Amino acid sequence: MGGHLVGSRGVTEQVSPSMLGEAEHGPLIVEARSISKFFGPVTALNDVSVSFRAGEIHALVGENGSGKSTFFNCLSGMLRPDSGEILIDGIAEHHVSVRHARMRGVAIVSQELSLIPELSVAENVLLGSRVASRNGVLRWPDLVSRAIRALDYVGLDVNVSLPVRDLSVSQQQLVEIARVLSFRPRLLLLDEPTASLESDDVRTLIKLVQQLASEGLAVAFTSHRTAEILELAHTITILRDGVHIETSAAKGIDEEWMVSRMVGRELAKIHPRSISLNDESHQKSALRITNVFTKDGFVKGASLEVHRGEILGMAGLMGAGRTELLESIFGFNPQSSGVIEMADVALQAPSPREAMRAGLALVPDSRREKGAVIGMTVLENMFMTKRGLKFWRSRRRESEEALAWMARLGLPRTPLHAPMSSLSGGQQQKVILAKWLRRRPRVLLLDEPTRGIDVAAKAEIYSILEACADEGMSIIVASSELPELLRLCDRIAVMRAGRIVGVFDRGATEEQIMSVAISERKS
Amino acid sequence: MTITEHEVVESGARDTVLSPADRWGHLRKVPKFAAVLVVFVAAVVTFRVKFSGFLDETNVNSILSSASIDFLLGMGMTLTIISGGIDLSVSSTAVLAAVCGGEMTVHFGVVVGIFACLVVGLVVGTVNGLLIARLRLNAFIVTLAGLVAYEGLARLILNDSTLVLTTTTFGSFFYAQLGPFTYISLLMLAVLVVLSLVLHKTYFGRDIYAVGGNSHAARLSGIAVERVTVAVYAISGLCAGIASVLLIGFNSNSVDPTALGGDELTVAAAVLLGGTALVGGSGGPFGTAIAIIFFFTIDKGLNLIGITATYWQLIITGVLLLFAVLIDRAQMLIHRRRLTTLSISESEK
Repeated sequence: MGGHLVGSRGVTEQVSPSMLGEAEHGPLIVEARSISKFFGPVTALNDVSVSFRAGEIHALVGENGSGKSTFFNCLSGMLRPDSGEILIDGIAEHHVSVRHARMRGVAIVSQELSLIPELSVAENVLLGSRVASRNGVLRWPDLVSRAIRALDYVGLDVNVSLPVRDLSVSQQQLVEIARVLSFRPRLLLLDEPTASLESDDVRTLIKLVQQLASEGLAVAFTSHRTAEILELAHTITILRDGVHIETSAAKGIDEEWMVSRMVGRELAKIHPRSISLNDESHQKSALRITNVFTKDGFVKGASLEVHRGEILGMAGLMGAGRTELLESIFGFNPQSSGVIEMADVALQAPSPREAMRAGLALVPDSRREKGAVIGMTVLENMFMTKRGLKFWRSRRRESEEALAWMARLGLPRTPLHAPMSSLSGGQQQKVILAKWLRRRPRVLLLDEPTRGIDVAAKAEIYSILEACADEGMSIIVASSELPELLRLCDRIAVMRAGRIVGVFDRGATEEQIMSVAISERKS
Repeated sequence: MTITEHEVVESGARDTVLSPADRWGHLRKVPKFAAVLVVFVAAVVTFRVKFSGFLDETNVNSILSSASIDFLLGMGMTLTIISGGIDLSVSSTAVLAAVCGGEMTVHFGVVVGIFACLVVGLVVGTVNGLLIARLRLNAFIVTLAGLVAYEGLARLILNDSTLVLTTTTFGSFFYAQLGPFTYISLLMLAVLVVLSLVLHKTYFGRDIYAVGGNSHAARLSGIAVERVTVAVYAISGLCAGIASVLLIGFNSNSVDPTALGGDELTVAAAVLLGGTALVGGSGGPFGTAIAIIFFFTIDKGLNLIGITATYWQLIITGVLLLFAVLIDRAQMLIHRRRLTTLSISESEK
């Protein structure tokens, strides 16, 4: 272990006025002092000091690349800090491994779950522990009863002998949390716990975290969703470019304050664009779908119309069929019946290739799986949609066009020959946008266009989309983040169980939309 | 999260005035086949020091000639592996094409015979491609089935014997020379150059990398994934067809259906050694070319030393393959360290 005792906590800790609010929480459990971490010449963390107290919910906030995950990884033993020390119960810990950190009470739930899909829920819950075995031989009944107890604690009631892959994302996350809790941590780190959850699952998670904290667990989490940060956190620490900007009690903090500190500048004020659908130019139908069913059964009779120059939002819970509908319009997901018309001309779209020719474009939900070829360069990705009779590629012609797009999309310094994998999520998404925009589609479909993207990049993507709509492009945006849709869209269509069940004009509230998205779901 | 990817962290302080297009150019200049190239050069130098005649025209031509069949098979296999699949049937395809071409030569003459070799290769490759692309069957299994079945078919046609051609055309072509070069080596060079141009300079070539890199993204970008796949296996078959012409000549105008047994694994090893990743989406024919020639250089060198046992050659091949993977790994680590801008992926899903 190699730990050595340092002076009592009270002496070393600096109490700033803004931290006084922490007094209501329990004793200090983990203290990170002057943590720095370098990756080659890049400073990922620069002299970051944060402390975590029992019963406190601590939010780590920052843009992509600000060092949140690196910090968590240092705390949980996945990375070793280059300087600084981590004190657990006032004892400095050196050479911490994940296993060691866990033994000392620090456990992490990573953004990417570390479950084994083919193993049963019970086995996953107790993965890495030897409790339910005798001489190395697994005792199934013991395993099951322990697993059920652990899952009960996080409020998950599933058949524990099912393979984990049969569970929903949120259930899988609860399994992971249950597993981590079985190590009896005193500091629980949650890295982007809500990134892939739907709103009602987020509620469940928030309740669970609050309950855990009230039982004396120290919780630290990261999130890109400002609303839930403000709701859940007692304390907020803001990181920017690896530097600790501020730690403050969450009371009395508003979103604007937080975002301005994350970004380091005031974001341009949001001016929602307003178009009048009564305008003649906006009357023309750009895309109309009638009674579409898909073969996979997710879309069951969806009908929808989007006008020229309009941004139409598509809200709905996970599993409502948004992705499936967008992909079926684009010909990626086969339809069993239904009509798709573009500008009043019926479109046969058995393949993305033909949908593309007709003037459609789709920015899919998962950049890694569907949006980009991660091993290819920015330039190659951007010109993947190149079609036509051209046989030979011209680097020069491509580069010139690409540079113009990069400038327009706010990526002037991104190297064209860098592999896509070296870009941040936001940069990748912009390249994917450029890949489609350069074809000047008449209708642009976007599925979760800002998932996992930081605040500044989000705002940029919004303004790009608005500019495109102003030029007459029609846009459909499916998103799980209602505030995003409310901010961006001229109208919002709500999907439920494979159908469009309501369309709202600008000015609708989150509550109205959610009630339509959820109601009758049980029937 | 662990360090799963590099992330460019924009930083004003480090910003140089290099044009964006140039800034990363140097990183792509380290080719994946650098490892095998280094070992190859080392081997050649070693043998040259030991045997002063190692780089003589005759010896070099003899190495290239013996490598020629696997070289051509490797060109096709490289393409299929880049596209995210594999063509294990290359050796059997070549044998089947040689048998059919041989029979045609017996009946209709050399021109028809050669033409038949190419057509049979192309057809067999297209069949493989259609099975894989249209029926969405696993490439490994389809071509493994082909590997067995095509050789069986070849033996059926020959009634399990060896076909001997009376004409001498194939053999004489095989050893004919144009100046210091054999026709064979010129043919190899031509195939290599054509494939390199197709892969790197055409949209079709870029599509092959895209399909191998991420077929979903490729399809969603409007790339005709099925068509690309079929084309890739057809080209692989065509390469095997060209190889079959050499196969007839190599065996002095006779066709032995078992002549190429096991070559597909040597070829696959060379493709991987040459820097083409098995998962698809990267690599190229140049690395394969070097790796194949390297294998046969080692062969020749060991022969000259007096080690004629094939097991030594097998062991050395295996060790080299592992070595190449290690080099690749080391290269990646160096590359990562060199990236001035490494960070932790924060929120990629």
